[in-house]
Amino acid sequence: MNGPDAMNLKIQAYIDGRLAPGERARVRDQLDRDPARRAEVEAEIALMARLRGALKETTPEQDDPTTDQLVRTLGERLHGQRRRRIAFQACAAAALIAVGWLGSTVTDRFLGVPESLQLAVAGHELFANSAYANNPVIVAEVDMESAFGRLLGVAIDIPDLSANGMTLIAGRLIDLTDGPVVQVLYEDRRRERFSLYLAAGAPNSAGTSSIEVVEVDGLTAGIWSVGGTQLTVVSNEPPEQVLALAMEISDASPDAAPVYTAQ
Amino acid sequence: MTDFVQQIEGLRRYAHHLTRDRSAAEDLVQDCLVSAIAGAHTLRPGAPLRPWLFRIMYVNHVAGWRRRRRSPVDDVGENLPETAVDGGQDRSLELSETLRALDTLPQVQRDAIALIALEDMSYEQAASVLGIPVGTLMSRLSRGRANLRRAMENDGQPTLRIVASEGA
Repeated sequence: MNGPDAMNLKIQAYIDGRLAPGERARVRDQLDRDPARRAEVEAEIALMARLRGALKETTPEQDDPTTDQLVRTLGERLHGQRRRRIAFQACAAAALIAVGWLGSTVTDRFLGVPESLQLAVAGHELFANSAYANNPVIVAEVDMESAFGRLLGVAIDIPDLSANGMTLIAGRLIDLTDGPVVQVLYEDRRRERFSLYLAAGAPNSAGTSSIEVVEVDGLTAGIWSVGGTQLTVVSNEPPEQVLALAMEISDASPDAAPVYTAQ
Repeated sequence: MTDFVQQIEGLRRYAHHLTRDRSAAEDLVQDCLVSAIAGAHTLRPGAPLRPWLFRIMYVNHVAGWRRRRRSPVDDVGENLPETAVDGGQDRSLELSETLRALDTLPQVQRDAIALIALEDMSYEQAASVLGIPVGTLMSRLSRGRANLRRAMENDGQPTLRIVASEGA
């Protein structure tokens, strides 16, 4: 773009009041050196203000019941579509976990497969706000371990975070074709909820990985593994708090013992 | 929902600008809403609602205008506002003069200016509503404002309506 064109673009943005203060001052300096152009620009600024008023003041008030009904229908359609999309994402989260989440490395996910994390986030939003989570049936770690263990035929260890002021609210099993995933929901003292996903890692994986934290769709996820178990915590807290939360959870599962192991 | 209703008010304002007729504007808004309901699935997840709705309305308007063009004269520029304006005769006269000056512009320049002045849309959103590149929008804005200024300077004298201009 040549000089005059670029300057004209800036002048248009100046007229509409869309320049940052520094850029605005530079355009004003430029116009000060060209009084004729400055007069034109000032006239156009005044005209736009006058036009804005004219267009708004001449728009008639409307109160048409047909339009109102159409607005309601469109609102419901768009809202319903969003609900279905979240539900679909939650289902897809389970499917993705089955085919790719556990099989990929943390690095792979951060570099190229953030979708699985987005879906975990969607699963958290759905579960944290569900009627089931607000009316929990299973509220004790031992009950949940027993129920899930019986269903799965495996022993699991749900972290007890009550000493840290976090209450277990609800849990669910996502039963997958190549491995189960447990999602448990906790609530802290401020009644903020977060999800912890527990899943078996790769068959021969062991040891403890570092905790990786990433922001997805306005929420934060922390991911790490302990003794062949993959843990993912999803919360709406900022990254530093999610990191601290992940460390608390990790400390609540001492000795690097698998949180979730096959019998 | 409040935000959604406010966007419908914006649609009504722009529909009135496009048609300059109260009932035609309401018909245009209703056509837009019917199209939006039928095509709700075409709104991409996370995409802003406002430019999507305005784009539907603008496309409907242009299609209707092309249909009407085959019939006898229907010049939106000749339709002055029906609404009475409060604030005295001077104010009313000033508004009428401004709108009359706007009516001398080619429609593509009028539509671009109205989206920016009336709805305060970003340049990117306004360009997407009109289905044109941002550069074209900026060109229409620049030429439209200059034409508008000249039309106002000539106020009180007979003016010719600009039916075409470079880059319009």
